[in-house]
Amino acid sequence: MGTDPQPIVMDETVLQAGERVVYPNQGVCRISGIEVKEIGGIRGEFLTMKREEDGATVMIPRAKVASVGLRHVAARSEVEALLGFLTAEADDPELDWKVRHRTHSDKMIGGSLLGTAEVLKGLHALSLLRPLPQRERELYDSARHLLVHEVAVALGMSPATAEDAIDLGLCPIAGSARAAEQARRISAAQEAELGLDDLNVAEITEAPATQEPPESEAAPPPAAEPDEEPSPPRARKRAAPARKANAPAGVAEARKRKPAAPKKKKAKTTRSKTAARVAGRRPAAKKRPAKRGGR
Amino acid sequence: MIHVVTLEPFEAEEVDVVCHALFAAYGVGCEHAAALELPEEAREDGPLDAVKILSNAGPVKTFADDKILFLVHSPLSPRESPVGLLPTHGYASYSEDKAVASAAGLPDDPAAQAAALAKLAVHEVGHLWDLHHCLDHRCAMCPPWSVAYARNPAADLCSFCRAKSERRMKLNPA
Ligand SMILES: [Zn+2]
Ligand SMILES: [Zn+2]
Repeated sequence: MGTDPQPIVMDETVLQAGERVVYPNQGVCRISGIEVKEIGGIRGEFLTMKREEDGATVMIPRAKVASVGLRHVAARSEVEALLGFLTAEADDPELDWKVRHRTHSDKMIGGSLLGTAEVLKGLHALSLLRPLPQRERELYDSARHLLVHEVAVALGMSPATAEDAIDLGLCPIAGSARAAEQARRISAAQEAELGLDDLNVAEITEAPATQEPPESEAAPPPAAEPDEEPSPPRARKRAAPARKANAPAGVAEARKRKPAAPKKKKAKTTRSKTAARVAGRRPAAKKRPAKRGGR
Repeated sequence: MIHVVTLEPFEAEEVDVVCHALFAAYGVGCEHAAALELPEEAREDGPLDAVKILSNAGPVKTFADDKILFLVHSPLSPRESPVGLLPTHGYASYSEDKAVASAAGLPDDPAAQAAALAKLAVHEVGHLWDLHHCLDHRCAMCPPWSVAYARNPAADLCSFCRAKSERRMKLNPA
């Protein structure tokens, strides 16, 4: 990297209200301050902050601040170096899923910008050789989500522009010399028998990335739910009226049909803006603030 | 509900194809809500400013959690970034309610253009439900400039993106 990464915040008293920090695996948050709260019958001091992307309230017991790995948002120079790292040729992906799982978990828990980018780049490189198992597909999306939002905040750009900047490095423009070079490297990697001798290259590059890997690789921890069955992209299936169930799978078919009748307008729903979170615990689902109808 | 708003003249058939693709991908109603003027602020000497289209086009009457997709024919200005100019076929305000897709650079053949615009529409609207770029070669959420995106004309979402969009919609029904 071209610049030093942001150090972990060990002392919460250095944080000012309004400052932005990154909470590992949660994203960019804005400091609200130190507040006294009673949670679960226990009264204590909490560092409170609001997550930028959805306004959720995040609280960390004051005594645990040093251990959660908070850091300031990356500096512009650090992000620019990171984008260069994403553009550079990827190392051969780690094919041993146990090693991958351990290193990726460590990097995500560490929460550094570079560590998160390494997870994204490693899984992206692997996906060019073989479909990712569901668990790693989710990890890939989480790493991407965290990076997009931090890059956006650090460079003062929208998430859309941040994600495109990240991907211009990872995914060369079709027809470009870099795209040809990437295709050449993928073929070479597959020919070099990176443990892939029984896999058909042509089939893999056409296969959905969410497809399951071989059984031995997809084995989840004992307590985990099994991954979902592999399924190719298809038109949305839902328990819905017949019209929806018959929704076209592709554009060509869609052209033969009339447009869907507009749904009845729904009453405006109100949602709690506060999804309180205590350090180390993650709710089942994120809560988002109510959206306005138009701006 | 997804409201498609044309800011330049489009054939009704082409807008139909876009609406169908959005309905198929997200399972929510989609209509050609209006044909409006392109906002002055978005006009530049050359291509259009996508960000200014989102902030100045309209107004469009919507309800909470509705999504708006603007369609234009003119090219959009590539955005600047530390890694160079970014190809800008469309643009979306992530997790919010407005996106734009441009038919510039798509095939001249009407059917092929409609299909390609529909795929781009599914991509940009996906960002409104917080979908990120996808590494599934057959998914509309692949980066629109990528080899994978160019190789597959279908406007489908992969199972991962479809499931994620469904979870988002449960939180914020459109
Ligand atoms: Zn995109
Ligand atoms: Zn996808």
